[in-house]
Amino acid sequence: MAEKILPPEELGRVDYSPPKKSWMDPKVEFRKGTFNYGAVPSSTSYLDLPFSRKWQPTDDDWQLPDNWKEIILNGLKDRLKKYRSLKVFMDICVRCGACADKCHFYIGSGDPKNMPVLRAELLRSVYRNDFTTAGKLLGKLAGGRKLTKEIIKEWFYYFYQCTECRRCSVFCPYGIDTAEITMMGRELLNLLGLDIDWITTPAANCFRTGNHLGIQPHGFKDSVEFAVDDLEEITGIRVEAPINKKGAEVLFIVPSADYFGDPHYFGFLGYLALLHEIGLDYTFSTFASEGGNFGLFHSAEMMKRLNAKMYMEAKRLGVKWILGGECGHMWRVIHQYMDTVNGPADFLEVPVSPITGTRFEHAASTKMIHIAEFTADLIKHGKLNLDKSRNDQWRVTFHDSCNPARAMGLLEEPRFILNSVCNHFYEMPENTIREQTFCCGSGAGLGTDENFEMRMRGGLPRANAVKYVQEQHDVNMLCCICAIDKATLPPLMDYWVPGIQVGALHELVGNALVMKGEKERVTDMRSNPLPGKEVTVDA
Amino acid sequence: MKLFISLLAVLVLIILPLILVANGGDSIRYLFGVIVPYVGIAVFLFGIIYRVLHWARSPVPFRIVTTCGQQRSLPWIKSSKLENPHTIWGVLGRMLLEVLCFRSLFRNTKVELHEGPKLAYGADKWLWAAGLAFHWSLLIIFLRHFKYFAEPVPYFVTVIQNLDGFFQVGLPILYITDIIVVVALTYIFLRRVFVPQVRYISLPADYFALFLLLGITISGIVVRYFFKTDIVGVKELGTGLLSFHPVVPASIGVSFFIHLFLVSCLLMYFPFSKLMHMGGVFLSPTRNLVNNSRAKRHINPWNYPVKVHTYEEYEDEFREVMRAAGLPLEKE
Amino acid sequence: MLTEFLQREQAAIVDTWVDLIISGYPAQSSHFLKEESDRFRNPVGFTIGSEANKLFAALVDNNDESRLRASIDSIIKIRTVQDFTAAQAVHFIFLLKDALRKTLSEKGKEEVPIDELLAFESRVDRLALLAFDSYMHCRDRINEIRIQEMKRKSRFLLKRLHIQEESIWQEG
Repeated sequence: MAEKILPPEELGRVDYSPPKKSWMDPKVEFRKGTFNYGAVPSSTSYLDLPFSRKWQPTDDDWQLPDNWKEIILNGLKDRLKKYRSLKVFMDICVRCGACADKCHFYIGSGDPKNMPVLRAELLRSVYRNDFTTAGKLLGKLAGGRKLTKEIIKEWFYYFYQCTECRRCSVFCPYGIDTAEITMMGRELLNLLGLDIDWITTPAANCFRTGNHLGIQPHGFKDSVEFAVDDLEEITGIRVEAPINKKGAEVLFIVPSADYFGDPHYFGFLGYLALLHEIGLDYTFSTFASEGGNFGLFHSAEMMKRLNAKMYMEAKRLGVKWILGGECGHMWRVIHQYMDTVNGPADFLEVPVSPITGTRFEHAASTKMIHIAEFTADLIKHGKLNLDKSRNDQWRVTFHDSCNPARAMGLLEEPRFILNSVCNHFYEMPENTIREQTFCCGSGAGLGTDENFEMRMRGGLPRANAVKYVQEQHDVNMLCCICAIDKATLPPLMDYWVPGIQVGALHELVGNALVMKGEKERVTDMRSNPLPGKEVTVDA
Repeated sequence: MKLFISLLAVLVLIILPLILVANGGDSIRYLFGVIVPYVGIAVFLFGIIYRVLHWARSPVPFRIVTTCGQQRSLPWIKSSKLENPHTIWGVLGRMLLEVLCFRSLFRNTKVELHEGPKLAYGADKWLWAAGLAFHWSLLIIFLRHFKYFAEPVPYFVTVIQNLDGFFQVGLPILYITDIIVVVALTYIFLRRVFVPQVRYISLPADYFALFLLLGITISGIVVRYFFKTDIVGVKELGTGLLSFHPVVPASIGVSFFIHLFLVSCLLMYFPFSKLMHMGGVFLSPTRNLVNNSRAKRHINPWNYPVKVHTYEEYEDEFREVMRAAGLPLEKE
Repeated sequence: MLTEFLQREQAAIVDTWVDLIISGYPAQSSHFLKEESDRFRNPVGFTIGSEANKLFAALVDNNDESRLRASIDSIIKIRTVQDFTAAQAVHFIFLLKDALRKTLSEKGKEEVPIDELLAFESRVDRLALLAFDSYMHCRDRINEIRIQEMKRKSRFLLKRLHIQEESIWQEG
């Protein structure tokens, strides 16, 4: 038999699956680098989650419980009763397609099921089939799909390919929020024990030790002391950083990555310097040693379970109000959920800055303010002595994190601070910042190593905008106020835009802050020489 | 396939009155002229009320505003009152912008890179323009139809009618909205067929709604401009329906029955379809809430106690290491 | 003579080439990738379009590798992290031959000497080899970056245990 000579256009088509006819076909392939590992039983059982077992998405048999269908449908019914958002969003989408090209995963992957409308249709089709008259009568013709195990796998694949960033909801004429739908989808999957490890294990750690990393109280104390040492080396000043101190005025809660991660840590040094300089009477807590909340990526209930520590600890320590560090989804929880789920915080007082006297009325009920709000107020009142030139090594651009931007509206405070602490600040293009900001591609529990390629795809739109300001303005620093950003933007930049460093807002504040009695600074918070202070070694 | 099924369904809805009314007697005319419209209106009204109440029965547990501008925080930072409302008036403004001007669709900005290199912000506003044109035209056409139901014709209807026929072209005078609505619907339809992403996400219901609306507008145009029907008779029917003394004048032609039947079908279809976005947009929690969740506590009616890890349990587990590290303890 | 043809028909050839590349993506997205001109809304399509043009011009001028490499890297970087095998990721280079043959058959077969055509196709083959290098480089980068990410996570932990070795952190 003669061998067939392939024309060039056929060469590359080696088992490339042809485009599917209809999205209703739920077949997904779990390819390495594009999905998250299943949760380990020790974490799921510690949190008393149902159907704790060892499993992986690549398994053929996901060992679903016998009554899995009933569980899902009852779970959906229950959530429709509890959430008007879900009910309305299931019914009113007109599939106009305005959201289609707004998702960073769609832009980066071209996979049509990453269009927000289709991500929602994956759930909506099952809703139609089992909860609407038209669907019950007409089935597929009315856009309904019968629930199958394949659909469960498809849900898992695509609901863990959404970072709940809410960008699509900005463009939707009805405000349909895919994050709501993804959250419900994940909750339904969790009912079958289909949790992912990168969410469940940090949540279990946080439940037990107070933080996602599982750092025990003495470890926390060590970390803070190391930071105090490092800061002393840089500034010559030994700051106090009280822990579990009863009767302090303010409880300060930061994401745990701040005292362990690189580059988060440099921002942590900035906090310590700042709070020392203004003489704030504050305390850290080992019990509430986590600002972030991976429970949010799991379920509303888990979010509440983990968040409860903040108010419990504020009450125990007898503080007046709470200050929160730089973190994205942490602020979604604090701003939109905390008071509702774990309030009222009637044992606290409306936050008042003891330095400027500003009363933060916008946090009158929750009694917790963002450190960017706090610092901006200090700077505005001229309470800080800032030397901008100590950030001259940086040409900065600012990445709005999804949650502070679209679930809070914290846009001007960080910009005001940046303009006060550095000389070179450049904005990325208008349709990639503020409420239109592009996600880092790793939020909502997707920032795992095993999911690396998917993260690179999802982060492409963000990186692409950074590349533009790098070309235009020689930008070399991407500043952000989110712990997940700080962890996942460095690899993203290394891949797409080499030469860009990622830094915290308060790292730049720490650099610029002239402290009373400090020694002549020769390095920045990274212990790198300041411009003009490089030590020249004669050969 | 999805498209043809929908087209077929609408064609059936057109042929049904065509055959039946043309060949039937007075009772058929009464069925299509009185019973079906009454059923349509009843289903429409009760259906909408049912659907809205059905939605409203589910609570809004969390204040999940999608903020599209600066929050209200410090007094010297200008907050965005409409895009990130902190008062009920701001929400009202935001909803009005959304409902009357399709604010969110308008957001579709687009950046183009010109030689230079210079960035220019352009508009990608076709969908917004077509959507707005279609909805506004439909509203005006709807209001214009009041002249068939009320005697004397309300003043505002006359004003709208005069404005709509401003150009005084043709006889009967051509209404601008008649043209706009067909053009806009055609654009929306073509977009659905020719933009692959949109075709991919389209369901039969999406085509059905478009065909039905196109059928209604075109049959309306046919009745008005081509197979002219007896206007006086139509008005007699309209006022009769409204005053619950319906009569079906013999002078009304078949073409009008097609128009009326399609409208009745739309009314019946409306509450059970995506067209309910008309009501749903007002209930969307990301748009209709004040972003003040830190200033004022939002109550979740089903908030329930959960299993938490208390400080006591925590200290019990870590007391020894805490003591060794010199951390303060509740129980020594 | 071939050069003249290539210069004259650059727009047509590159357009066909880009069409062929984009047809390798799911059909529902090809319109978006091809038509959306906003470089921030459509980085994938924008990169493929603009770099394909640069690549073609550089090939026609018979430029040295360094000019080709930057453009190749930009495209390969994207394809490396999309749902492609190694073969699929670099395959788009061969599509240029197809695009050229198609344009040739449409616009004047006779004026091009076969030896020039073969020489040009050899250049395309060389480009494919460069693309493969680039793909391997991107895979290596991914692994390096993943390792660095792991190290970054434990950096301060190791520092605290006083087992930091400066040399570990100096790479990358």
